[in-house]
Amino acid sequence: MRQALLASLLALATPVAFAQAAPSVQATEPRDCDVCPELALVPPGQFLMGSAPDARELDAASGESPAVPLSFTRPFLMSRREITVGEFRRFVEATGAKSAPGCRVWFGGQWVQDHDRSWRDPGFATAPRDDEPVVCVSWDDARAYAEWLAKKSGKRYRLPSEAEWEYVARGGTSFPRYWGERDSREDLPLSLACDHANVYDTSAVDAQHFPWPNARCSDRATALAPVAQYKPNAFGVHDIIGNAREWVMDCFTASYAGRPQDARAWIWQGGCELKGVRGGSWASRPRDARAPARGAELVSHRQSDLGFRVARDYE
Amino acid sequence: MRAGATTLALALVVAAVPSLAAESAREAGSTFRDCDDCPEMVVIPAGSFVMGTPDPAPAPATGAAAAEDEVVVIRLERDFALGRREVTRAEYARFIADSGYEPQPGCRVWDPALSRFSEDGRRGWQDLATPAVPADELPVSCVSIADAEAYAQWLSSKADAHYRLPSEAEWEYAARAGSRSLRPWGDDAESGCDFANTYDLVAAARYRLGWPQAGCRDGYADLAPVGQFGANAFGLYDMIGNVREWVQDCATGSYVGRPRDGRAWEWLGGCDERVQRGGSWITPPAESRSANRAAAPAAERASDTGFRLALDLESKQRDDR
Repeated sequence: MRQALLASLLALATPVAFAQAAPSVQATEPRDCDVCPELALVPPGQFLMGSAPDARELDAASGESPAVPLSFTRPFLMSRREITVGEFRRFVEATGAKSAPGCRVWFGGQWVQDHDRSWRDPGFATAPRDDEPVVCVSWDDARAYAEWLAKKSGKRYRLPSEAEWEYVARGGTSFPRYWGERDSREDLPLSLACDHANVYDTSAVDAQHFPWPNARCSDRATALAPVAQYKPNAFGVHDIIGNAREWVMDCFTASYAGRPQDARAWIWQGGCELKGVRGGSWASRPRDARAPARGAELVSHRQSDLGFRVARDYE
Repeated sequence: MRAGATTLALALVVAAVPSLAAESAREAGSTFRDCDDCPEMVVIPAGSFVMGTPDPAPAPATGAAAAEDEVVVIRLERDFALGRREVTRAEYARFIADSGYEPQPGCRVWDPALSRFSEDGRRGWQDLATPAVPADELPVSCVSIADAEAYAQWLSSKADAHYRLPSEAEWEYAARAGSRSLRPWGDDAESGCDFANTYDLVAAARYRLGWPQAGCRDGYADLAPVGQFGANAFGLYDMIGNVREWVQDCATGSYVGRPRDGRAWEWLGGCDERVQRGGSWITPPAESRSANRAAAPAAERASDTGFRLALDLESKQRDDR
């Protein structure tokens, strides 16, 4: 059964130039363990990672251009949702994992480090619900969670590579947003984002007053939203744009020159301080809520809009 | 007066105990050879420096070279040693003879018929096709990263020490030798002929490469024997010019996030392109500067690319990085 599914995925992923596979499958794999997240099976394929040098929303300093053609020869699995507060709590309770207190939160018109905040209380108006994405977690916290899942399940859980992340975020399209919005110019009166992603939108303006543009639509969330409230993409993955920004495995370099041309994470010998962060969040302006948009944070950074999802190899 | 006499007396004591002097000789600025045939090494002191050029002119357009303006402060925690000169053909020949190493043939050499550099499968480090001069003291060229690493490995086993390519940070620190100017001798590109074998009037007269030359004469149309030009403040020769030098680091388009210490910046799983530093005898004067960066496929052999080696001074207790 699994072999047949794999064969059909492989057949489906036959590349059509770089417009590549447009999978209509939303394959949900059986859970690997009782606390393991629901996974989407992502077919192999090819895509262009990054943006054209003349892309309107290009953030040149982030290194998203020049783009680089990547080829994935193996399917892989990625959690359909961002890891939730409830899931993370089970990990903390099971392992006794402790993380240093403190989280960067939006307060008084700026991001400030607040030592009383943590993943248990990121400082929103209401206490976090168990089905909201966990935030205020460092890259090390996220990796420890993935390693715990690996131990529980015997499967190779890990953070997604930056390449896997962008491939999934494009949802089989070549667009910067899988819902087809090529160019969400920030002066446009309407945006399609709010059906698909929890970004900085009209419903968040009064609560947050961020000094940057908002999407011209309402997603009904002033900050974090419970996971999977918005429409998934063609891989069956929710919230990959918006809600919480997501850690990826890779070290951050502000250029794709020299990076692996496949699904592997790009990691420096001896490790790195700066890790890739993707997808934008509830606090992101439209320009930062794009599949090719890139960010980076220090490995120990915790912020109230930064969480993660997990991936694993197809075994 | 009395203090002066004491110092003199101490100096005499040190001189009188040569074995002790040899042991403690690896102080910053001193030189040594691990064996009679080993390259002469200079002890480079630990320290900090500003890597990169804030506003390079001309600004390199693309690739690794364009990242020169990403200025970072690098701190080298401990002394290390660096080859005083580029590895010579004589030194490389001893390695080939002793180890039996067989480099792949082929090199990017000057083709007089086409008036350009092109790949020639018959050429190699012994035969660059450039005019023959007494070749032993020329820097070896037509060597790939693998060739340079093989040489380092051979030398390491011979000398019982850990020879390796320098990291890019070590290289630039050593090239600057405390200078903050664009070049070890100052900012002026045109006054380099006493210090570096770059693309000058002599080279331009023979090769007509079509890019600007320094308006001075360095005395060599192409490769020069090592150590013919003025040393920098660390006593290193030919850091700028003569041959481009391989360093350990992988090449990319941005160095934001790179290690801030002396380590090389390398990817897990290796890299196809490596950094080269210092330019060569064909490099135009404006680009012949301490922070200028070039990148080349790791397997490339070119008649103007060579290397020098570095050495950890605490090699016996190296941590695994």
